[in-house]
Amino acid sequence: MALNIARVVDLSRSEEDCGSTALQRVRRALDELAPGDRLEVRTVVAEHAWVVRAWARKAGVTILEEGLDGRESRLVLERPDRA
Amino acid sequence: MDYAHPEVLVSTAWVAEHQDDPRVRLLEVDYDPESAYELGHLRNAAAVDWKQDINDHVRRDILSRSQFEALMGRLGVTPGTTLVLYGDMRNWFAAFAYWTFKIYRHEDVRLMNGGRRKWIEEGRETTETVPSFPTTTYTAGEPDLGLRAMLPGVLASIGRAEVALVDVRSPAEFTGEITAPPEYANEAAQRGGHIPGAANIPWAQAVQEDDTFKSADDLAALYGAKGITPDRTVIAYCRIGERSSHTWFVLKYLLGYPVVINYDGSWSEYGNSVGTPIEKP
Repeated sequence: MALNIARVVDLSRSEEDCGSTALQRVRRALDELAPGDRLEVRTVVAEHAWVVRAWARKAGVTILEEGLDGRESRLVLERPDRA
Repeated sequence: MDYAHPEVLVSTAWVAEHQDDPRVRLLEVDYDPESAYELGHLRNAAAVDWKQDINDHVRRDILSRSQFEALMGRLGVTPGTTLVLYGDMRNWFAAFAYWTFKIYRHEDVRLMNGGRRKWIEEGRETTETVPSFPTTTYTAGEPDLGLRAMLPGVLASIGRAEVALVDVRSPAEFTGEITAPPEYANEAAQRGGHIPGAANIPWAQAVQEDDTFKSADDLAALYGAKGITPDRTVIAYCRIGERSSHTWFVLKYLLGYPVVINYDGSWSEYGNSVGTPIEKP
């Protein structure tokens, strides 16, 4: 059964204008959700997916789904009580 | 055509072979170490925090000579050490550190082609273990200020045929549609646009999809087509000088242009300064 996604963040071209890092964008998006809501992260950059996985593991954020569609990684994170 | 100075660029494979070489110090230069180094880095790589280590926030300036000497000492570097830089955000901040290290005349500085992104893409080993090195006492050379453009010099260059200005920001920044991403309000400018006469060649046009640099032939064609040629003094700028450091590296070391200068004040200084002329379509 498909998960109910509250928001999608596409990181693929997130660094073009020298703004936030990919992880900063994910954390900000997660912070804006209610506890228990789900964030879908998409990116064609392996480094982004690697960083999100590493951070989620350290921060205790659950990755509910993870997959690869061609070159695009897709991760679904659940907003914990405290992100 | 080969790169003019191929020795300044090392591949990920070369780095993997030299991670235990005591003559080599790997430095990961991050804009945000919390999003990068602290989650995993190359074995034996030390962290350099761009904001804390490479800048002086009180003066809004690059680190001073004494701060550079202290940084090198803390990292266990001697003047004879081979420094290999790489980092987050597509190697921009590693390139900025490279530029400052050359200002203080460290002899052997190299950039890892493709940066952190390529290393991870290749599935190479990372670690969270932070290495430690015996500290040293480092003495830097006289700063090479010819590598750095300041606002008066930029203003004096406008309209001079022998000087080429290259704006490496995105087209939206060049045209003035945006001056900075919303989350970086402190880097915004009062005005959008660009320095009169500047050519817009976004930094990313110098790299391939895996973030390694394009061939020398492709780079020469890219810059030459927009009038950025070796017979001219070239001044590169962006918003805070880090993307332009990447282009500075390309023009100076990969193409071997004789005079290439980075304007680190960039648009966050120029666009906010009273009385400076701008172009805005």
